[in-house]
Amino acid sequence: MTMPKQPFTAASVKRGADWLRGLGADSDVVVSSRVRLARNVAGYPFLSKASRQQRSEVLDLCRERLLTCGIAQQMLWVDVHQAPQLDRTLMLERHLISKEHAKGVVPGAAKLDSTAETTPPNASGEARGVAISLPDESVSVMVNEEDHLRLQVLLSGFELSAAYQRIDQVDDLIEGKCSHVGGSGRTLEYAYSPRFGYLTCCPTNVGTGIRVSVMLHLPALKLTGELDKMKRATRDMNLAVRGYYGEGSEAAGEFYQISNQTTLGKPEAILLREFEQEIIPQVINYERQARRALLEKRRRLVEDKVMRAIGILRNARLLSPEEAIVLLSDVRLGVVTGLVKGVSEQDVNQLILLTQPAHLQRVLGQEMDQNTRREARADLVREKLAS
Amino acid sequence: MSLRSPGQFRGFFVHAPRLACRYDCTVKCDRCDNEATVHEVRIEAGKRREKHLCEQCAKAEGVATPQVPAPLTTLLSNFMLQQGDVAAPAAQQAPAQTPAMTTPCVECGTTYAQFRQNGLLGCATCYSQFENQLVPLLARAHEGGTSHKGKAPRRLTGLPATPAAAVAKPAAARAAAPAIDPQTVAKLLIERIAMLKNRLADAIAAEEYEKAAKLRDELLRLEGMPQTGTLPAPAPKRKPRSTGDRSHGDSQNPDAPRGGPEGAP
Repeated sequence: MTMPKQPFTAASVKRGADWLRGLGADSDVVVSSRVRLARNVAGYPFLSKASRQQRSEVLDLCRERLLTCGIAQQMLWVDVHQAPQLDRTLMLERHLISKEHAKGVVPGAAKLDSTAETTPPNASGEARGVAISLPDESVSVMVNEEDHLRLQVLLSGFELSAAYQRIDQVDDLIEGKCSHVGGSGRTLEYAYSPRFGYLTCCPTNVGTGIRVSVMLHLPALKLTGELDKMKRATRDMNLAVRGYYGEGSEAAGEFYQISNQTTLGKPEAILLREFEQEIIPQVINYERQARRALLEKRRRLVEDKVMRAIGILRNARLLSPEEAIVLLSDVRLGVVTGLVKGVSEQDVNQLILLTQPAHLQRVLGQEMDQNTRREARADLVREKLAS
Repeated sequence: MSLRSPGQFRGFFVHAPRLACRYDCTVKCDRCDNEATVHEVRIEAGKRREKHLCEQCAKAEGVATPQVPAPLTTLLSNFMLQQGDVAAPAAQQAPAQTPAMTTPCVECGTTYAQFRQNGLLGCATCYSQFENQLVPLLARAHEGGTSHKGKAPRRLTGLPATPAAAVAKPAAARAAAPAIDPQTVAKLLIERIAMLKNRLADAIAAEEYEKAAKLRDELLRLEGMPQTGTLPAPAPKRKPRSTGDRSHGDSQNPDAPRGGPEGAP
């Protein structure tokens, strides 16, 4: 296994992330599929109670194990607490780490003081890291987030089974002894009880520790006004509906993530089957029906929305990230319904990523203030969407 | 908020001053010159009576006004904890100074009161320490689930790399599985006894005596075993398991990705 010298070079960043390739099943509606597992290391308190010393011991053990247990040919390790702000935001935009992990929120500290919107003092210095499989970045394992380990597999399109198989394999690989040449000989075991399953800091994750989540692009359901009905129905099934950036985020550009909340008493296989065979196919079906109905009955309306969006993007001289994602979402609707020619789903997906602040700065190779970024964003989009 | 009884209807609504409402809020309070923000409608014996009051007068008249709604995020984060309290027996609902609330976890020192405050436990031992308080809360957060079903660490199951084979041929898989060291077996046995005791307590509380009797028999069988050596196989079943049985690691379940410790050799 090798470690790359320079993570996130301009070239690799420009290439975009694999989960936004626009590949995989049902990619006209499903942008990406994600499975994550919450795990804690046995023999250490959870992070809400861990001392600095214990945190850093957990980090060392996990890093050693993650880099030597054979998850992928090449693994990238980032000490998130030491990484520059730009790299942290970059990983957040690529969905490799969570907002909390990027900011450095200590579990418990933020919740105890609900008014603390900002990062607690010194929190960015708390030892934490992430291991990422290269070059596809499909596997990422956060160390010292809310739990000691948060494993994630993120794939393009509707590929939940593949994602689960991969994460199951990674999960099995991580537990074990650091017995490689020059290894510490320490053993990583998960905190587990037969009664409650995998033990997590917050009891909402206990049991399987699994969070299955699918990112969907639902512009037609929004236009027909059926989205609220869909949201209510999924919430009744004890599922969460979130925005593009996950927990606590508003929907940006009609991208929604549907994920499970129940982790205790329901085996992984049953949960996956519900998602793969019942819940998500139904939502996909509703969205496709709504798209067809709109094109038949209100074609002018859809055309107007899509063409306006592409018109603005091809001519704007200043673009905020919020405006960009909303307009790109409209263009994506045009691409998947065949109203827009010469632009691919992948182009749009890639632009959604590249127009975000950290990506924009890394691609252009310089740090920029907000106003300069708005200019650069507009230039980039005009260049990419030039007819 | 309304109260209905035959022939009687009472309802009211409250709005913030200066917000548009169907009473076009130039309506003044019935009792003073302030703007009326509480409107009460009563229909008694077919007659409609309206009352328009400002907030102070509404309070004075005893017309209940709803609390200012808490921010949604606060409501959501408190939801689980509150739900847990509602379901907990009265003894656990008592104020913070009761022993149940202040007894710290033997391992990490977290108290249940602290957990209620931030929703986070301190260590693995907290789960057994606060089990009684946690169970009703978990049931609400997890659609009734109070015990784990699904994957168990491979070090405990000792299952071979292909779980499908283990599910299809449990006996063959057990024979082929690598042996677990005696210490792990002893640990598993202790954990399993603890789990069965919990389930027995649950069954008795739920007055499911038939189930309780089976659990008792299984416990007696396990407790009579030496704490080292091989892990016992589950007792042979006489009849199909009832659907209400939330047993852990149900290796009979073809849907489970992998059997629990019960599927171990």
